[in-house]
Amino acid sequence: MNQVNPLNRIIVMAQDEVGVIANISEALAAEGINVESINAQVVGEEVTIILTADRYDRALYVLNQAGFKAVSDDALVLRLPDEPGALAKVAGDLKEAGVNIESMHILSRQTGYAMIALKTDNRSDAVAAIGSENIL
Amino acid sequence: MTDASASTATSMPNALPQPEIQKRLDQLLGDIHSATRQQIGYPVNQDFDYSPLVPFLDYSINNVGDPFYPSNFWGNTHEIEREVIDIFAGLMHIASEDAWGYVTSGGTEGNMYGLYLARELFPNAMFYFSEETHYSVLKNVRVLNARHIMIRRQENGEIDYDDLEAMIRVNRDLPAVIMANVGTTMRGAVDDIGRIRDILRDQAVTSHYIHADAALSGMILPFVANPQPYAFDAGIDSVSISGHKLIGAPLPCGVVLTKRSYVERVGRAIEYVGVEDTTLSGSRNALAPLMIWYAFAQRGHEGFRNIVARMLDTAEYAAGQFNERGIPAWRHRNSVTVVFPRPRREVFRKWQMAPEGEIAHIITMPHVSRGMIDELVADCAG
Repeated sequence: MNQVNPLNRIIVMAQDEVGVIANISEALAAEGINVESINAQVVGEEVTIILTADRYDRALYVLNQAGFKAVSDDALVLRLPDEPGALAKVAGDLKEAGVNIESMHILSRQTGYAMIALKTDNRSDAVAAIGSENIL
Repeated sequence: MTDASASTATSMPNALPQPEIQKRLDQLLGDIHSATRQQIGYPVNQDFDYSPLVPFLDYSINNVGDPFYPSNFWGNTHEIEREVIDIFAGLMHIASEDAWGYVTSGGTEGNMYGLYLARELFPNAMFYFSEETHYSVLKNVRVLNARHIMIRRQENGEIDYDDLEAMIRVNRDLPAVIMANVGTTMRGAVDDIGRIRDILRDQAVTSHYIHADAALSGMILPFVANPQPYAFDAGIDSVSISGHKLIGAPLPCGVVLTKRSYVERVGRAIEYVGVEDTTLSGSRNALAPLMIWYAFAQRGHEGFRNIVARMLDTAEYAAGQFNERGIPAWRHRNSVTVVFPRPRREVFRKWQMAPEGEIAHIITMPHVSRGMIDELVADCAG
């Protein structure tokens, strides 16, 4: 079976430690996966890495097996204030826009922020409702 | 068409001489023995002797189907399984005639069954559970294709009730399925069932279902003087309890218990095995009910009460010892899970524990002695 849209992004969350990008690259290289682009952003004690790779599904599997929190681009990844009601506000905005939540997971919580994986029945309307500034 | 014998010949090993098999088994047994000696962070009771049950290994027995219906497969332990369910009905405060359940392959299947029932009763429900919930619940809701929202947890491990209420308020037009923790894996926290029910009432959500994951604490709270509300009389609709944790079955198993009326509403007739099969599995382990029954028969209510009291004493001792050495350890009331700051890496080479972020825990199961606690505390302080 052909892989679906190999240009999709993979979002990886990891502790901001020396060598984390090298560890990700090595884990993928060991499986013969080519990284096509990679960007990192440090938030608090965590680093968020957004990458594209030539074997998308395999790359996701390898990263998760290697202990990284890797999320497919099927989900929106949100960065929200880590405070009561922040998730409910997103849920309310989506409701108002007529977007159904399929799943909402807390990926990690760090100083002041929470990283959320969100799947809905309408991605583009969800992005419009939430505001792109909150989405990785 | 290819020659089957030729294509499979390389993957199937030749029979080994018996001494070689024995050598391999001895080696594995030794490894397992060594691996379990320093286990202090997992809720596994290693204090058991099931040797009287060994003769049952001479028979192929199978508990396929609903334990409350006759099976065409006669070599089963359904009668024993029904007795086990009856024992748990008592522990979970539901009348025997109103209860239904079966012995599962473990806590995950029990949770899956509870959530499956909820989904069948309320197909368009939103499922809620805290981020402290066992990871397998994410697998469960995915398998069930259930819409779900993870709720923040408080520092102490309980669900954040304000966040839960805010989320339910947004989705108050949908039935709510709450997966409540009765003793979380990492912190031993018990979600307040009464407060969850208050939230549902305040938000006027009349279609709701509460499943309790009581993997370990489902065998602790029934045996303490002043338990947090955990059972059917507190308002739960189903519960999953592990058999290989406090009960001490030597293989993964558990019990799921719910209201008979719910199961009857979603029952399916399967004529192939001649039973009304409402369980998730087809063939089911017939030894597991026997082991759980045997543990209860040997120890009785008083025996388990004593075990739980001893475990709680050890937990209190452990928290005290950590604190005396300047390590801020804590535990919830009625919990045998003692939480403390994640120690340095070397400690994990000696002791089998599962850390999470900045914390680690020990669980004072019956095999955990005060001597082990002293040694661990010294290692953490050193």
